[in-house]
Amino acid sequence: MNSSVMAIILALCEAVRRGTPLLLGTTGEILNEKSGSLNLGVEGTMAVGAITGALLGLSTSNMFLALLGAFVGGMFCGLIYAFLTITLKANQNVTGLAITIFGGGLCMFVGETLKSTGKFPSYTTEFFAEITGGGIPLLKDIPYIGQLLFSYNALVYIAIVIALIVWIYITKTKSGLRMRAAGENPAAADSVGINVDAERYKNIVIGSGIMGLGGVYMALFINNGLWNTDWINGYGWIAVALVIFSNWSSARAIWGSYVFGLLLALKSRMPSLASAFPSVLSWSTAIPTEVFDALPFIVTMLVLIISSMRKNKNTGCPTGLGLNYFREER
Amino acid sequence: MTKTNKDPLIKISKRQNLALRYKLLLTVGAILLSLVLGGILLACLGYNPVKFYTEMLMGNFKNASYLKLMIRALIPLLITSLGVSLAFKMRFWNIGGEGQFIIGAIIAMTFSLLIGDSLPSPLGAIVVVILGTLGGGLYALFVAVLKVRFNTNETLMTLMLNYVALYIASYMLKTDFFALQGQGVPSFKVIAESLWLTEINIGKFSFDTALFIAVALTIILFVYFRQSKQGYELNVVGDSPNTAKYAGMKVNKIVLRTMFLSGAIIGMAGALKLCGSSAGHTFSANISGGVGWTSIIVAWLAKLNPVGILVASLLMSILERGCSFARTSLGISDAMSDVLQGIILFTVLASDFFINYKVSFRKKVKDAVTAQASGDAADDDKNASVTAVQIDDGIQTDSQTMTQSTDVVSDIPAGESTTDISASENPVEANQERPSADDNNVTEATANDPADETPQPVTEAAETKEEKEAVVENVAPEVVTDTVSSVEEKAATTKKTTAKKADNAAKTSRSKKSDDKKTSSPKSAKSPAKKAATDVKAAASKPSTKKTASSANKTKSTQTKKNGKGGNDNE
Repeated sequence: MNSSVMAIILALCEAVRRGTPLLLGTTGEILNEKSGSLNLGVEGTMAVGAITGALLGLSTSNMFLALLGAFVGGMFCGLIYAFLTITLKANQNVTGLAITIFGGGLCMFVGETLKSTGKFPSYTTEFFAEITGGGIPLLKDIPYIGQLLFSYNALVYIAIVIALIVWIYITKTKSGLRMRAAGENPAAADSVGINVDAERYKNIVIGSGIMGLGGVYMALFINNGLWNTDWINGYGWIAVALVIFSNWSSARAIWGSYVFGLLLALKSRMPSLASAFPSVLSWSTAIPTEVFDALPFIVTMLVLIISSMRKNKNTGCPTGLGLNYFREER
Repeated sequence: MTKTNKDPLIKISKRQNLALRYKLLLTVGAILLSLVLGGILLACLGYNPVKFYTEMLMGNFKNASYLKLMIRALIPLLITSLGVSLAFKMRFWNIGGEGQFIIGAIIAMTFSLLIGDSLPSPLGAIVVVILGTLGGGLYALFVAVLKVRFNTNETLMTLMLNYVALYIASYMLKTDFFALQGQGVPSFKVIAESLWLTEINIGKFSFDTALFIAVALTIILFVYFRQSKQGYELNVVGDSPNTAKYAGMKVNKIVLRTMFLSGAIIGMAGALKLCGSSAGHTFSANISGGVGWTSIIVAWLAKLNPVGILVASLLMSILERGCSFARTSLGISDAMSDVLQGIILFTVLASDFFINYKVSFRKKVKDAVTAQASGDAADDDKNASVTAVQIDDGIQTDSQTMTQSTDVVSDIPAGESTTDISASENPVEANQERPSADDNNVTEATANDPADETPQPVTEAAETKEEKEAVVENVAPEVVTDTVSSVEEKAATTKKTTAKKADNAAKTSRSKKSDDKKTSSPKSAKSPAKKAATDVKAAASKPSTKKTASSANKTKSTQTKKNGKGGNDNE
């Protein structure tokens, strides 16, 4: 009994751990999309955030600098995206894909180069302790619940707080209203004096910074700061789909990303779950691991299909999504 | 606008059509710029960029074998890019090239192993490639069906299918059917020799038939886009699905067909690579070599033009081969090619802006005249508001002068009075009628000429304005036409009053209207009247010329607006 409960709790913990980068990516993408930009560069933005954050963090052994580096790295990508799509009115889809290719390549290039020359920074022991440890003191010692709720590193909680702040910002504040107006109907927003370009710039850059945080999470907490040729491994794309799943609400994105986190966690947690519940889950051992690898993507497709079949009238999808705004073309 | 007469510092407007050579120049400039940026990045990491780029060229053109490797890398990229461009032309964001390529190869691999060496040499390869082609096509068609039925996001769907295909491919290595398990690391089986593509020798080189298929496909697609009905439909659907619908095209059918073709071509690339020598006649999980991604860059770089795709994929192959050569010689990661590709795409996207838009800076105050002319758009609004005021006046004075003119009419000889009434009712026509009424007097006919010159642009302007009204729902043009007519009416009536004053026959009064330079026969009585007439004329002509300028400007803007709908998709 005890071990089976532990197996479930560990699986859920893993789900939260793996859901967090998704949550950060989704939150960032929501900021992008709500202001009218369909940024497909999440994967690349996360990759750049991962490499800048991880390098800065590992070489200084400072978590704050790691997060800052990741945020700035993400903002850099956001700035490129915003400049190309807003100022230069480039196609949003292609620009996003360009960010993905560039970001993935840059992360790979810098990482490979440093690794091959042996300059890739490695952990100091205290930094490793900071990464693997974490959790809220005292509370995390509560049996089961402490493990489930309070045992994570700070970024997990920061991600939730960011998601909630973004939700409040979008739905409750005046500036959030302005930003939504820029996304829903830029021409109308412009006519009432909202600076559409500035709104979009602002939200793209900040949103991309948040994606960058998701990237450094992938690098430091999922891959334990060890160089790996694909640090992001499709999480960015799942985040783009999660935006649809969560109906453009970052509050709903919280549990949405944990659901997908669970799907991602199944690969590593399924064996222990199967041994804890042999009667129910024994079949799972026969399943090749590739199925678990592909599962999040398959479920994402199902979500996309189902959400498109249900013609939801209360969709949070901004009407101006994906359209560049050129004042002379109103 | 409200405070000062200043134009915005930087004004961006749509450009119609830039000459091809400038487009090419901009694109080439963008690529060069991206290489410079890449060089800066390398320098930041402590490498010598010049050495890197020379190594890169060496890696492609050092000797025949390197060139051959480059061309081998070119083939799948070229075919995949052609396939991707089909979907992109329709604004269908098929970024699943990677998945369709792998699926094509997987299907081809499956049937190759099933067929074995039971079929003779060329036939077996043909069958396998066709099956792989179908596989890729169906894989893409699945997304197209969902798009057509439920409007599912095709970008994400095709992307997710990439990962699914990738994991299927990596699973295949674990199966006995596809791989030799044996001792140590499992490896994929090599397909039967009868299924290999035939090699054709050209001088020193030998290539498989895939090269010729790729080149043929380029030509076929070039013709398909340019000449065929389907290619035309594609363009229309891409520019505006609604237009296509109203034109009676079956948009859904076009989407399904095109997406199938797109996936099929990419699947064929996969099957050809499997059967070709470059992949060693066997499968691998990374058989695609990232062409699905690179093809997106190639297609966009080439502006979806098949010939351009040939050039762009050549460039990208050189880049990739060069980077992988530099990896071995300089120890620089070959991910540099991804970075460079990304930067190239950035700069090319940026250059597109300068192709599609014109950027003009505010001129200095010195050349205020030209600045005013160029900055008409800003002034227009103001004109509109000013003329709006004039209108009100005009209407009032109209009603007054109408009554006046009827009084006047009774005084004036019959023949003239009728024309004058018509003049006050319909000034634009009156301008044209007047000369015919004056035909009997030769001197006047000649004298009329300069006078006619001024009204004519007004009528033209009025006509263009009317056209414009049909196109644009804008208040300003209506206002302008009204004011033109009202001003004209005023002119006509004041002329009449001057005629009365002059106390001469209407003949002379009319000659006065036109006597700017030539006619100077009646002097004493006419001089004040003449002055009044010219004043009026100046008043009438001045705004009218201004308006013709502005209207020309406006028609231009409407054109851009019309074209803009199609044109803005070029971004």
